[in-house]
Amino acid sequence: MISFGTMTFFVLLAVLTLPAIVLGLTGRRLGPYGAVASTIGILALLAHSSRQLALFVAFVAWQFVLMKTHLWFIQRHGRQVVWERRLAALAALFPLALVKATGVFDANLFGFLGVSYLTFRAVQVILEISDGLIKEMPSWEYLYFLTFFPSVASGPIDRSRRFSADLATRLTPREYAALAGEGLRLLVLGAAYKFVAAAALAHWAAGTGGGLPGTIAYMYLYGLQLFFDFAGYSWMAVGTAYLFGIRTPVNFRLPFIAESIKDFWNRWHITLSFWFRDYLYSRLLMAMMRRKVFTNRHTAARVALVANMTAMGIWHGTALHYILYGLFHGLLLVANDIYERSSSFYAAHKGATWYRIVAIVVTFHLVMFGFLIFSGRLISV
Amino acid sequence: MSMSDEAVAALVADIAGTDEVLAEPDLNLFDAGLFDSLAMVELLVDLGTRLGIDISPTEVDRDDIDTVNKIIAFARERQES
Repeated sequence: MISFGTMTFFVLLAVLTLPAIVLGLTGRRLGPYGAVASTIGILALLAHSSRQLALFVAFVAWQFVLMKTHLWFIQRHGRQVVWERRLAALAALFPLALVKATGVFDANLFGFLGVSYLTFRAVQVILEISDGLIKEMPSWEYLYFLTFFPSVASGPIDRSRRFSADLATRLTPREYAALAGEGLRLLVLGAAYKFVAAAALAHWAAGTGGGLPGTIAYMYLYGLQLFFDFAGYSWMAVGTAYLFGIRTPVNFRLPFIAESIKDFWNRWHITLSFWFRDYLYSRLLMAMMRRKVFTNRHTAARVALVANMTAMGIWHGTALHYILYGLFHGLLLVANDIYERSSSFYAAHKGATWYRIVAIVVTFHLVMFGFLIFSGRLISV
Repeated sequence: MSMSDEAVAALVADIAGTDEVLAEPDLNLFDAGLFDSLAMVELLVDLGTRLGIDISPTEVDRDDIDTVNKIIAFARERQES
Protein backbone atom coordinates (compact mmCIF):
# COMPACT_ATOMS: atom_id res chain seq x y z
CA MET A 1 0.00 0.00 0.00
CA ILE A 2 1.39 3.38 -1.03
CA SER A 3 0.32 6.67 0.53
CA PHE A 4 -2.10 8.31 -1.95
CA GLY A 5 -0.83 5.87 -4.57
CA THR A 6 -2.82 2.65 -4.64
CA MET A 7 -6.50 1.75 -4.67
CA THR A 8 -6.32 -0.07 -1.32
CA PHE A 9 -5.02 3.13 0.25
CA PHE A 10 -8.01 5.11 -0.99
CA VAL A 11 -10.43 2.45 0.25
CA LEU A 12 -8.77 2.61 3.67
CA LEU A 13 -8.86 6.42 3.51
CA ALA A 14 -12.61 6.37 2.84
CA VAL A 15 -13.20 3.99 5.75
CA LEU A 16 -11.06 6.06 8.15
CA THR A 17 -12.46 9.46 7.16
CA LEU A 18 -16.15 8.53 7.28
CA PRO A 19 -16.36 8.58 11.13
CA ALA A 20 -14.39 11.86 11.13
CA ILE A 21 -16.94 13.43 8.80
CA VAL A 22 -19.80 12.25 11.03
CA LEU A 23 -18.07 13.65 14.15
CA GLY A 24 -17.28 16.91 12.39
CA LEU A 25 -20.77 17.44 11.03
CA THR A 26 -22.26 16.85 14.47
CA GLY A 27 -19.89 19.38 16.07
CA ARG A 28 -17.87 16.91 18.13
CA ARG A 29 -14.14 16.92 18.83
CA LEU A 30 -12.07 15.33 16.07
CA GLY A 31 -8.69 15.02 17.83
CA PRO A 32 -9.00 11.75 19.76
CA TYR A 33 -10.62 9.86 16.88
CA GLY A 34 -8.11 11.41 14.47
CA ALA A 35 -5.22 10.08 16.55
CA VAL A 36 -6.67 6.56 16.49
CA ALA A 37 -7.42 6.71 12.74
CA SER A 38 -3.93 8.06 12.07
CA THR A 39 -2.34 5.17 13.96
CA ILE A 40 -4.39 2.64 12.00
CA GLY A 41 -3.43 4.36 8.75
CA ILE A 42 0.28 4.22 9.57
CA LEU A 43 0.18 0.60 10.62
CA ALA A 44 -1.51 -0.22 7.31
CA LEU A 45 1.10 1.74 5.35
CA LEU A 46 3.95 -0.11 7.10
CA ALA A 47 2.31 -3.53 7.39
CA HIS A 48 4.09 -4.92 4.33
CA SER A 49 7.48 -4.80 6.05
CA SER A 50 8.09 -5.79 9.65
CA ARG A 51 11.54 -4.21 9.44
CA GLN A 52 10.12 -0.84 8.38
CA LEU A 53 7.52 -1.07 11.11
CA ALA A 54 10.20 -1.83 13.73
CA LEU A 55 12.37 1.07 12.52
CA PHE A 56 9.39 3.40 12.56
CA VAL A 57 8.45 2.46 16.12
CA ALA A 58 12.09 2.77 17.24
CA PHE A 59 12.33 6.21 15.62
CA VAL A 60 9.15 7.49 17.26
CA ALA A 61 10.20 6.07 20.66
CA TRP A 62 13.63 7.74 20.33
CA GLN A 63 12.15 11.13 19.48
CA PHE A 64 9.48 10.85 22.16
CA VAL A 65 11.94 10.07 24.97
CA LEU A 66 14.27 12.79 23.68
CA MET A 67 11.47 15.38 23.59
CA LYS A 68 10.30 14.56 27.12
CA THR A 69 13.85 14.57 28.51
CA HIS A 70 14.69 17.87 26.79
CA LEU A 71 11.49 19.49 28.04
CA TRP A 72 12.22 18.31 31.59
CA PHE A 73 15.80 19.60 31.40
CA ILE A 74 14.83 23.03 30.09
CA GLN A 75 12.15 23.42 32.73
CA ARG A 76 14.52 22.40 35.51
CA HIS A 77 17.76 24.05 34.41
CA GLY A 78 16.56 26.85 32.12
CA ARG A 79 17.62 27.69 28.59
CA GLN A 80 21.18 28.77 29.34
CA VAL A 81 22.89 25.37 29.14
CA VAL A 82 24.25 25.54 25.61
CA TRP A 83 25.69 22.03 25.42
CA GLU A 84 22.36 20.46 26.35
CA ARG A 85 20.51 22.39 23.63
CA ARG A 86 23.06 21.34 21.03
CA LEU A 87 23.05 17.74 22.21
CA ALA A 88 19.24 17.59 21.99
CA ALA A 89 19.24 18.96 18.42
CA LEU A 90 21.97 16.53 17.35
CA ALA A 91 20.14 13.62 18.97
CA ALA A 92 16.97 14.53 17.03
CA LEU A 93 18.97 14.56 13.79
CA PHE A 94 20.88 11.37 14.61
CA PRO A 95 18.41 8.81 13.16
CA LEU A 96 18.21 10.67 9.84
CA ALA A 97 22.00 11.04 9.73
CA LEU A 98 22.27 7.28 10.29
CA VAL A 99 19.83 6.60 7.44
CA LYS A 100 21.65 8.99 5.08
CA ALA A 101 25.13 7.70 6.03
CA THR A 102 24.22 4.05 5.64
CA GLY A 103 22.24 4.88 2.51
CA VAL A 104 25.54 5.53 0.75
CA PHE A 105 26.22 1.80 1.02
CA ASP A 106 22.76 0.28 1.08
CA ALA A 107 19.73 2.39 0.25
CA ASN A 108 17.36 0.39 2.40
CA LEU A 109 19.38 -0.62 5.44
CA PHE A 110 17.87 1.85 7.93
CA GLY A 111 15.46 3.77 5.72
CA PHE A 112 11.75 3.71 6.30
CA LEU A 113 8.69 5.53 5.03
CA GLY A 114 8.71 9.20 5.92
CA VAL A 115 11.91 9.32 8.00
CA SER A 116 13.09 12.51 6.30
CA TYR A 117 9.79 14.30 6.88
CA LEU A 118 9.30 13.04 10.43
CA THR A 119 12.74 14.39 11.32
CA PHE A 120 11.71 17.94 10.40
CA ARG A 121 8.81 17.83 12.81
CA ALA A 122 10.88 16.27 15.59
CA VAL A 123 13.67 18.86 15.21
CA GLN A 124 11.17 21.73 15.13
CA VAL A 125 9.74 20.66 18.50
CA ILE A 126 13.23 20.27 20.05
CA LEU A 127 14.39 23.71 18.84
CA GLU A 128 11.22 25.46 19.99
CA ILE A 129 11.52 23.82 23.41
CA SER A 130 15.07 25.25 23.49
CA ASP A 131 13.69 28.68 22.57
CA GLY A 132 11.11 28.50 25.35
CA LEU A 133 8.28 28.65 22.81
CA ILE A 134 6.97 25.18 23.72
CA LYS A 135 6.43 24.86 27.44
CA GLU A 136 4.25 21.77 27.53
CA MET A 137 3.66 18.92 25.11
CA PRO A 138 0.95 16.37 25.94
CA SER A 139 2.14 12.91 24.91
CA TRP A 140 -0.75 12.03 22.63
CA GLU A 141 -0.62 15.43 20.91
CA TYR A 142 3.09 14.99 20.23
CA LEU A 143 2.65 11.48 18.84
CA TYR A 144 -0.35 12.52 16.73
CA PHE A 145 1.53 15.53 15.34
CA LEU A 146 4.73 13.61 14.64
CA THR A 147 3.04 10.72 12.85
CA PHE A 148 -0.05 12.46 11.35
CA PHE A 149 -0.71 9.92 8.62
CA PRO A 150 -1.94 12.06 5.66
CA SER A 151 1.43 13.83 5.62
CA VAL A 152 3.63 11.09 7.04
CA ALA A 153 5.16 9.95 3.74
CA SER A 154 6.14 13.23 2.05
CA GLY A 155 4.74 16.20 3.97
CA PRO A 156 3.57 18.96 3.93
CA ILE A 157 5.66 19.75 7.01
CA ASP A 158 3.36 21.19 9.63
CA ARG A 159 4.40 23.05 12.82
CA SER A 160 3.51 21.69 16.25
CA ARG A 161 2.15 24.87 17.83
CA ARG A 162 -0.13 25.41 14.82
CA PHE A 163 -1.21 21.75 14.93
CA SER A 164 -1.95 21.91 18.67
CA ALA A 165 -4.02 25.06 18.15
CA ASP A 166 -6.17 23.15 15.62
CA LEU A 167 -6.65 20.33 18.13
CA ALA A 168 -7.77 22.85 20.75
CA THR A 169 -10.37 24.36 18.40
CA ARG A 170 -13.78 22.73 18.26
CA LEU A 171 -15.34 23.55 14.91
CA THR A 172 -19.05 24.22 14.59
CA PRO A 173 -20.84 21.87 12.14
CA ARG A 174 -21.02 24.75 9.65
CA GLU A 175 -17.28 25.51 9.93
CA TYR A 176 -16.43 21.84 9.60
CA ALA A 177 -18.68 21.43 6.54
CA ALA A 178 -16.88 24.31 4.81
CA LEU A 179 -13.45 22.90 5.70
CA ALA A 180 -14.39 19.35 4.67
CA GLY A 181 -15.90 20.61 1.41
CA GLU A 182 -12.62 22.34 0.60
CA GLY A 183 -10.79 19.16 1.62
CA LEU A 184 -12.80 17.04 -0.82
CA ARG A 185 -12.19 19.57 -3.59
CA LEU A 186 -8.44 19.38 -2.93
CA LEU A 187 -8.55 15.58 -2.94
CA VAL A 188 -10.15 15.58 -6.40
CA LEU A 189 -7.80 18.30 -7.67
CA GLY A 190 -4.76 16.43 -6.31
CA ALA A 191 -5.90 13.16 -7.86
CA ALA A 192 -6.27 14.87 -11.26
CA TYR A 193 -2.79 16.37 -10.94
CA LYS A 194 -1.18 13.11 -9.94
CA PHE A 195 -3.07 10.40 -11.79
CA VAL A 196 -3.88 12.27 -15.00
CA ALA A 197 -1.32 15.04 -15.62
CA ALA A 198 1.73 13.55 -13.90
CA ALA A 199 1.05 10.06 -15.25
CA ALA A 200 0.83 11.34 -18.85
CA LEU A 201 3.96 13.48 -18.45
CA ALA A 202 5.90 10.55 -16.96
CA HIS A 203 4.89 8.43 -19.93
CA TRP A 204 6.09 11.07 -22.38
CA ALA A 205 9.30 11.74 -20.41
CA ALA A 206 10.17 8.05 -20.53
CA GLY A 207 9.75 8.11 -24.31
CA THR A 208 12.25 10.90 -24.98
CA GLY A 209 15.30 10.04 -27.06
CA GLY A 210 18.99 10.67 -26.45
CA GLY A 211 21.22 13.54 -27.52
CA LEU A 212 20.66 17.22 -26.86
CA PRO A 213 17.08 17.48 -28.27
CA GLY A 214 16.03 14.42 -26.24
CA THR A 215 17.58 15.82 -23.07
CA ILE A 216 15.88 19.20 -23.55
CA ALA A 217 12.49 17.55 -24.10
CA TYR A 218 13.11 15.37 -21.06
CA MET A 219 13.99 18.43 -18.97
CA TYR A 220 10.59 20.08 -19.51
CA LEU A 221 8.56 16.88 -19.28
CA TYR A 222 10.37 15.68 -16.15
CA GLY A 223 10.15 19.11 -14.47
CA LEU A 224 6.42 19.38 -15.13
CA GLN A 225 5.87 15.77 -14.07
CA LEU A 226 7.69 16.46 -10.82
CA PHE A 227 5.38 19.40 -10.15
CA PHE A 228 2.11 17.63 -10.96
CA ASP A 229 3.12 14.49 -9.08
CA PHE A 230 4.27 16.25 -5.92
CA ALA A 231 1.72 19.06 -5.93
CA GLY A 232 -0.99 16.46 -6.57
CA TYR A 233 0.17 14.35 -3.64
CA SER A 234 0.40 17.47 -1.46
CA TRP A 235 -3.13 18.63 -2.32
CA MET A 236 -4.46 15.18 -1.45
CA ALA A 237 -2.57 15.19 1.86
CA VAL A 238 -3.87 18.68 2.72
CA GLY A 239 -7.41 17.73 1.65
CA THR A 240 -7.36 14.64 3.89
CA ALA A 241 -5.99 16.67 6.80
CA TYR A 242 -8.93 19.10 6.42
CA LEU A 243 -11.35 16.17 6.78
CA PHE A 244 -9.72 15.50 10.16
CA GLY A 245 -10.05 19.18 11.12
CA ILE A 246 -6.34 19.88 10.72
CA ARG A 247 -5.40 22.87 8.53
CA THR A 248 -2.09 21.49 7.28
CA PRO A 249 -0.29 24.30 5.40
CA VAL A 250 -0.20 24.18 1.60
CA ASN A 251 2.96 23.24 -0.25
CA PHE A 252 2.57 24.98 -3.64
CA ARG A 253 1.37 28.37 -4.79
CA LEU A 254 1.62 28.59 -8.61
CA PRO A 255 5.44 28.12 -8.68
CA PHE A 256 5.74 28.62 -12.45
CA ILE A 257 4.61 32.24 -12.32
CA ALA A 258 7.51 33.08 -9.97
CA GLU A 259 9.29 36.26 -11.03
CA SER A 260 12.62 35.35 -9.46
CA ILE A 261 14.35 32.37 -7.86
CA LYS A 262 13.69 33.93 -4.46
CA ASP A 263 10.00 34.20 -5.38
CA PHE A 264 10.10 30.57 -6.62
CA TRP A 265 11.12 29.30 -3.17
CA ASN A 266 8.13 31.11 -1.66
CA ARG A 267 5.92 29.07 -4.02
CA TRP A 268 7.58 25.65 -4.47
CA HIS A 269 7.61 23.03 -1.72
CA ILE A 270 6.78 25.90 0.62
CA THR A 271 6.72 24.00 3.90
CA LEU A 272 10.20 22.60 3.19
CA SER A 273 11.77 25.89 2.15
CA PHE A 274 10.14 27.76 5.06
CA TRP A 275 11.37 25.08 7.45
CA PHE A 276 14.92 25.53 6.20
CA ARG A 277 14.50 29.32 6.31
CA ASP A 278 13.30 29.33 9.92
CA TYR A 279 15.38 26.57 11.46
CA LEU A 280 18.64 26.70 9.48
CA TYR A 281 19.15 29.89 7.43
CA SER A 282 17.86 32.39 10.02
CA ARG A 283 19.60 30.70 12.93
CA LEU A 284 22.91 30.33 11.11
CA LEU A 285 22.75 33.96 10.01
CA MET A 286 21.87 35.14 13.53
CA ALA A 287 24.79 33.21 14.98
CA MET A 288 27.17 34.67 12.38
CA MET A 289 25.88 38.22 12.99
CA ARG A 290 26.15 37.98 16.77
CA ARG A 291 29.73 36.72 16.50
CA LYS A 292 30.45 39.23 13.71
CA VAL A 293 31.97 36.51 11.52
CA PHE A 294 31.63 38.78 8.47
CA THR A 295 31.87 42.56 8.60
CA ASN A 296 29.33 42.83 5.78
CA ARG A 297 25.89 41.46 6.58
CA HIS A 298 25.12 40.80 2.92
CA THR A 299 28.16 38.52 2.75
CA ALA A 300 26.94 36.66 5.83
CA ALA A 301 23.47 36.30 4.30
CA ARG A 302 24.91 34.91 1.06
CA VAL A 303 27.09 32.38 2.87
CA ALA A 304 24.02 31.32 4.85
CA LEU A 305 21.98 31.00 1.63
CA VAL A 306 24.49 28.66 -0.02
CA ALA A 307 24.87 26.59 3.16
CA ASN A 308 21.08 26.43 3.53
CA MET A 309 20.37 25.28 -0.02
CA THR A 310 23.26 22.79 -0.05
CA ALA A 311 21.90 21.27 3.17
CA MET A 312 18.50 21.04 1.47
CA GLY A 313 20.14 19.24 -1.45
CA ILE A 314 21.84 16.75 0.87
CA TRP A 315 18.54 16.21 2.67
CA HIS A 316 17.08 14.99 -0.66
CA GLY A 317 19.84 12.41 -0.85
CA THR A 318 23.60 12.03 -0.62
CA ALA A 319 23.98 11.34 -4.35
CA LEU A 320 26.07 13.93 -6.21
CA HIS A 321 23.19 15.24 -8.33
CA TYR A 322 21.14 16.15 -5.25
CA ILE A 323 24.06 18.06 -3.72
CA LEU A 324 24.66 19.85 -7.04
CA TYR A 325 20.96 20.71 -7.21
CA GLY A 326 21.15 22.37 -3.79
CA LEU A 327 24.36 24.20 -4.67
CA PHE A 328 22.83 25.36 -7.98
CA HIS A 329 19.88 26.94 -6.19
CA GLY A 330 22.11 28.40 -3.47
CA LEU A 331 24.27 30.15 -6.06
CA LEU A 332 21.20 31.30 -8.02
CA LEU A 333 19.77 32.84 -4.86
CA VAL A 334 23.05 34.66 -4.24
CA ALA A 335 23.05 35.95 -7.84
CA ASN A 336 19.40 36.93 -7.39
CA ASP A 337 20.26 38.83 -4.21
CA ILE A 338 23.23 40.70 -5.72
CA TYR A 339 21.21 41.57 -8.83
CA GLU A 340 18.19 42.92 -6.93
CA ARG A 341 20.35 44.96 -4.54
CA SER A 342 22.78 46.51 -7.00
CA SER A 343 21.31 46.55 -10.53
CA SER A 344 20.05 49.95 -11.68
CA PHE A 345 18.40 48.13 -14.60
CA TYR A 346 16.35 46.09 -12.14
CA ALA A 347 15.46 49.16 -10.07
CA ALA A 348 14.30 51.03 -13.17
CA HIS A 349 12.22 48.28 -14.79
CA LYS A 350 11.06 45.86 -12.06
CA GLY A 351 7.47 47.14 -12.15
CA ALA A 352 7.04 47.02 -15.94
CA THR A 353 4.80 44.32 -17.42
CA TRP A 354 7.31 43.34 -20.10
CA TYR A 355 10.03 42.99 -17.47
CA ARG A 356 7.86 40.79 -15.28
CA ILE A 357 6.98 38.51 -18.21
CA VAL A 358 10.66 38.16 -19.17
CA ALA A 359 11.50 37.49 -15.51
CA ILE A 360 8.88 34.72 -15.32
CA VAL A 361 10.22 33.08 -18.50
CA VAL A 362 13.86 33.28 -17.34
CA THR A 363 13.00 31.96 -13.87
CA PHE A 364 11.00 29.09 -15.36
CA HIS A 365 13.94 27.96 -17.48
CA LEU A 366 16.44 28.20 -14.62
CA VAL A 367 14.07 26.15 -12.49
CA MET A 368 13.63 23.54 -15.24
CA PHE A 369 17.39 23.26 -15.61
CA GLY A 370 17.58 22.72 -11.86
CA PHE A 371 15.14 19.83 -12.17
CA LEU A 372 17.30 18.33 -14.91
CA ILE A 373 20.23 18.34 -12.47
CA PHE A 374 17.91 16.89 -9.82
CA SER A 375 16.83 14.07 -12.15
CA GLY A 376 20.40 12.74 -12.25
CA ARG A 377 20.28 12.42 -16.04
CA LEU A 378 23.23 14.78 -16.51
CA ILE A 379 25.45 12.68 -14.27
CA SER A 380 24.71 9.17 -15.45
CA VAL A 381 27.38 6.88 -14.07
CA MET B 1 17.83 48.26 28.51
CA SER B 2 15.05 49.96 26.63
CA MET B 3 14.28 51.67 23.36
CA SER B 4 11.96 54.55 22.60
CA ASP B 5 9.37 54.15 19.82
CA GLU B 6 11.43 56.60 17.74
CA ALA B 7 14.55 54.50 18.19
CA VAL B 8 12.69 51.36 17.05
CA ALA B 9 11.31 53.18 14.01
CA ALA B 10 14.78 54.51 13.18
CA LEU B 11 16.16 50.97 13.37
CA VAL B 12 13.49 49.73 10.94
CA ALA B 13 14.24 52.61 8.55
CA ASP B 14 17.93 51.77 8.75
CA ILE B 15 17.33 48.09 7.90
CA ALA B 16 14.82 48.90 5.15
CA GLY B 17 17.32 51.38 3.75
CA THR B 18 14.79 54.20 3.42
CA ASP B 19 13.22 56.84 5.66
CA GLU B 20 9.98 56.55 3.67
CA VAL B 21 8.78 53.94 6.14
CA LEU B 22 8.66 56.60 8.88
CA ALA B 23 6.01 58.51 6.95
CA GLU B 24 3.95 55.36 6.35
CA PRO B 25 4.05 53.40 9.60
CA ASP B 26 1.32 50.99 8.43
CA LEU B 27 3.00 50.09 5.13
CA ASN B 28 3.54 46.33 4.78
CA LEU B 29 7.33 46.08 4.60
CA PHE B 30 7.43 42.63 3.00
CA ASP B 31 4.82 43.45 0.33
CA ALA B 32 6.66 46.69 -0.48
CA GLY B 33 9.85 44.71 -1.08
CA LEU B 34 11.65 46.60 1.72
CA PHE B 35 11.96 43.59 4.03
CA ASP B 36 13.14 40.05 3.27
CA SER B 37 14.54 37.10 5.25
CA LEU B 38 17.82 38.95 5.85
CA ALA B 39 16.02 42.08 7.07
CA MET B 40 13.92 39.97 9.42
CA VAL B 41 17.05 38.41 10.93
CA GLU B 42 18.73 41.82 11.18
CA LEU B 43 15.71 43.19 13.00
CA LEU B 44 15.63 40.35 15.52
CA VAL B 45 19.39 40.49 16.15
CA ASP B 46 19.54 44.31 16.48
CA LEU B 47 16.38 44.56 18.55
CA GLY B 48 17.60 41.70 20.75
CA THR B 49 21.03 43.29 21.24
CA ARG B 50 19.60 46.72 22.09
CA LEU B 51 16.99 45.30 24.47
CA GLY B 52 19.33 42.71 25.96
CA ILE B 53 17.09 39.75 25.08
CA ASP B 54 17.22 36.75 22.75
CA ILE B 55 14.49 36.62 20.11
CA SER B 56 14.30 33.42 18.08
CA PRO B 57 13.20 33.45 14.41
CA THR B 58 10.02 31.48 15.05
CA GLU B 59 9.06 33.40 18.17
CA VAL B 60 7.15 35.93 16.11
CA ASP B 61 5.17 35.46 12.90
CA ARG B 62 5.98 37.67 9.95
CA ASP B 63 2.36 38.85 9.96
CA ASP B 64 2.90 40.25 13.45
CA ILE B 65 5.91 42.41 12.56
CA ASP B 66 5.33 43.46 8.96
CA THR B 67 4.79 47.20 9.57
CA VAL B 68 6.65 49.87 11.56
CA ASN B 69 3.73 50.20 13.95
CA LYS B 70 3.56 46.46 14.57
CA ILE B 71 7.31 46.32 15.19
CA ILE B 72 7.02 49.19 17.70
CA ALA B 73 4.20 47.34 19.48
CA PHE B 74 6.27 44.14 19.50
CA ALA B 75 9.30 45.97 20.97
CA ARG B 76 7.13 47.56 23.67
CA GLU B 77 5.64 44.22 24.60
CA ARG B 78 9.07 42.61 24.88
CA GLN B 79 10.41 45.43 27.05
CA GLU B 80 7.57 44.99 29.50
CA SER B 81 7.88 41.24 29.85
